[in-house]
Amino acid sequence: AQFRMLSAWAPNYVFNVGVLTSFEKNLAELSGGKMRFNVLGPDVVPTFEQLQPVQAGIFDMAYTYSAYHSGTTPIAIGMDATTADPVKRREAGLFDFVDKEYNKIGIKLVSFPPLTPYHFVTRNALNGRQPSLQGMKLRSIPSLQSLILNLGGSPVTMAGGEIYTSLQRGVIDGAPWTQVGVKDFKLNEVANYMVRPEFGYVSTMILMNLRKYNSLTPEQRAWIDEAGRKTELDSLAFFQELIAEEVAELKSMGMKITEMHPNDAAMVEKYWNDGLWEMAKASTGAAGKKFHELALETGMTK
Amino acid sequence: MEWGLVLTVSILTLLFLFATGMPIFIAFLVVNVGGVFLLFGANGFGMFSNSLYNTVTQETLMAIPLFVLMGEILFRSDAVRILIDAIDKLVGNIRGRHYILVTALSTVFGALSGSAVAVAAMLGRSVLPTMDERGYDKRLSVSAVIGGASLAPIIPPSLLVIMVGSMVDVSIAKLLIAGILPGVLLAFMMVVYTYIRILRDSTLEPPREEVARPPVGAKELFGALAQTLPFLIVIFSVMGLIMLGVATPNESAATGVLGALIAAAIFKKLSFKMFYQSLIGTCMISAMILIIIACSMFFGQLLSFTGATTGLVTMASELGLPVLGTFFVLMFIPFVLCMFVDLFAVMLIAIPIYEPLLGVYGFDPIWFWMLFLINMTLGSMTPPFGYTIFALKGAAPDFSMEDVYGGAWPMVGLFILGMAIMYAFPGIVTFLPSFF
Amino acid sequence: MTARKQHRPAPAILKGMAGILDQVTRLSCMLSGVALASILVLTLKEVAMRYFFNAPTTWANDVNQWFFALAVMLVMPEITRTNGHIAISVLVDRLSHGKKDVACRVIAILSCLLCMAAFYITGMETLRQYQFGITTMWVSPIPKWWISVVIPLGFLLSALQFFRLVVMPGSEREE
Ligand code: NA
Ligand code: NA
Repeated sequence: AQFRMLSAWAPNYVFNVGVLTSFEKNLAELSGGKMRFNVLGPDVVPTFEQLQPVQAGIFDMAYTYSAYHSGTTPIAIGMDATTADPVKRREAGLFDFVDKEYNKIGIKLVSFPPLTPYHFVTRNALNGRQPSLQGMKLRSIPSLQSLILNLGGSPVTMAGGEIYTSLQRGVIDGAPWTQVGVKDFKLNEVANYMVRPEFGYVSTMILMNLRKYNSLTPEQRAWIDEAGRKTELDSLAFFQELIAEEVAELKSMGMKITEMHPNDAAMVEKYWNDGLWEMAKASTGAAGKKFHELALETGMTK
Repeated sequence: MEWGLVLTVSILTLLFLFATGMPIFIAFLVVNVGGVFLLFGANGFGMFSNSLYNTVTQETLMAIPLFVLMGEILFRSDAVRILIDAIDKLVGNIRGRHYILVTALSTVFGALSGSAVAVAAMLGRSVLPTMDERGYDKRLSVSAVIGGASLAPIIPPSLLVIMVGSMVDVSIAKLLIAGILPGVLLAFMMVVYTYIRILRDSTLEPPREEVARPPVGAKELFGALAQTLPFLIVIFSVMGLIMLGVATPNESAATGVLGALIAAAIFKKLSFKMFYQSLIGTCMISAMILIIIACSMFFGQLLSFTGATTGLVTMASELGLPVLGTFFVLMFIPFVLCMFVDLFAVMLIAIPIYEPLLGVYGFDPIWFWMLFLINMTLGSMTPPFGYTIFALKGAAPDFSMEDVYGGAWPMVGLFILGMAIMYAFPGIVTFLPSFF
Repeated sequence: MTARKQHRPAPAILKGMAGILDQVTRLSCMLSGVALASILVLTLKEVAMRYFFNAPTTWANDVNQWFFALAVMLVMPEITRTNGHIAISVLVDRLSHGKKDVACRVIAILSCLLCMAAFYITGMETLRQYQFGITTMWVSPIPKWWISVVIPLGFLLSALQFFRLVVMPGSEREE
């Protein structure tokens, strides 16, 4: 079978390269070449509007990020507040929990590959005082809003295309960015520092139209499930190597490390988790609360 | 080659519908609604609606109405007339000074904004009516405005450059700087062109005796200089605030409006009524343009979905022609697509396919992407269709489509000539970035 | 416009309905202007709050998206009423007066139908967003249909204005 997959990112962006290449390979191997998919990008459906056409069945699959469809359901955002270990996530029942919730909106969760932590890139070194980002203006997105506030920073919302110029001219003092991706967006040209510690972990999602999934034979479904599972492990390895490489490269291009105050360093992971759980619970009723409880019980979140 | 058929049919349909004289956005709607039903049936409703939603809530497009508002206020406060008078005195009795002024103005505003559509609409609203009123040649005035506006994405700051830079492996900073000399070269060519036209045909200007005036005294000269100051406020409130890190390029459109209001106050023309009329006028002009953008956006999505866009771009990259031929084809395809589809969409498709080719043909990345960008801008101002053209037409309803076309063609020629020069002398593009 | 003389005067009921339609259109157009003014004020306020007080708001950017949608969609009926949409009329302009009049009416009928179709399509999606409680992806989310409802509204009013151009061509033009 040939599936139509929508991706939230341009074809040459590292997220696509890292995850979809592996998913394609795994699916082809498992199915003996019987299952393939072709990838269409944000030029076909804008990044933030991609869930609906998969629900409607116009596309069979989507490769996207939970926050990109948080308007429909924010519950999967909670997954980013759990330990970035795909095996444990499945064992703890977190994967199945999200899957069940998505089934209610006509979507099958195929894979939840973890990619990269966040870090702040800043124009200047931090002064070492607490709160660490006091007096600084940082580009913000909803999922990082409360973390930035907790670190004393002023969150600034602006369009993605404005970040480069804003950092260059000092409209903002820094921006949170996935560790893999700073180089792609050339932020190293306008920011001199990488803030440590890094925090959180971004996981992307491969989704499928539920009706389409259910129309397949059990064998075919097993191929997809297994390919999804393997892709999580592959991409974790792929990105861990890449992160090390990219951070080293950013350093060689002149970016330096700057540290948060130790008290903030100890708390930043908690700030990240709390912010995401708050979002995940909003407008999901009891489900969000249950998901959080499950993650707590299984020791997957703090 | 199924996509070839789809592409041919949909473009021919659009061409036919445009020719009937129906509103452009309706023509796009015909193809979009038809396309949705053919491809997806009622399942496609969401995709159609959300595409419109996506465009009419897009922050990066907000600079368009704000820039137009700036132009409206400058026009309604007579600031443009006063500026033209002042320059008149300052520059003296040289010929064609107003065309030169317009070219200079549009280049300055092009440098301030990143959007050719915004600048074309702004100047179309403010400068063009004044020029027309004074008996200047419509088409030559359009040339000056459309050419200058098209420099907006080339001269920094430019959102397009940042978009390209984050998709390919070149420094954004270098790519931004690379735009300066090509921008200056093109502006210079426009001035030369205008001069040649005026020297050959004196009817392009109002009769000499009407514009000629006695020599200006020092006091008057000083007064004229003072009258240009409010304009400096406007320019500062856009460019200065970006440079100082106070505002982002998008926000600078709003601070520019504030500057225009201050200028209007200095000219004692600021009133609630004037502001309200400017607002309504701006909404009308901007919405005419934005509804076309919104509808054509979805047309672009449908084309992408059918594989037509990718097919075309891939074909261009696989023809196996000699280097110059390849270069020409690589430029020609996005140029044509830009008539019907938004620049960003074309970039999203073309860039990943083109990028690996640079090594194969030995094109310098900065040079290639800068020419690619100039070429896309060119596509938007080449008749019969393109956002820059529509923007100017929307902003200047007294100008017929023929006038707009007539003014655009020479600029198309100039841009092509400019690109040929940059092809022959790549240093024009690569010289400045080499210092960074 | 000389066209006015050639048309029979429209029946009173049509005139009355057109009057109501025009009132709504005018109001809609005014709201569009207010929305644009709000974008201006909010953006300026945001620049000032950020630069001078280091205290940017979390909502200005988001709310501006809403105002932008309002500004674009709500002025569409007025553009239609004044027959201001951008078109390539190079060929139509060469027709004789009578033929041009027919062509304009045919275009207006077609435009009316297309706007009705767009109204229906976007209206259905807005309804879906309402039914499924879909929200915006803002820092403080609001129901998405609050924003997207202006899209079908703009198309509906435009459709009615196009219809008016069919039955009462040129009757309300401000010359
Ligand atoms: Na510019
Ligand atoms: Na064109």
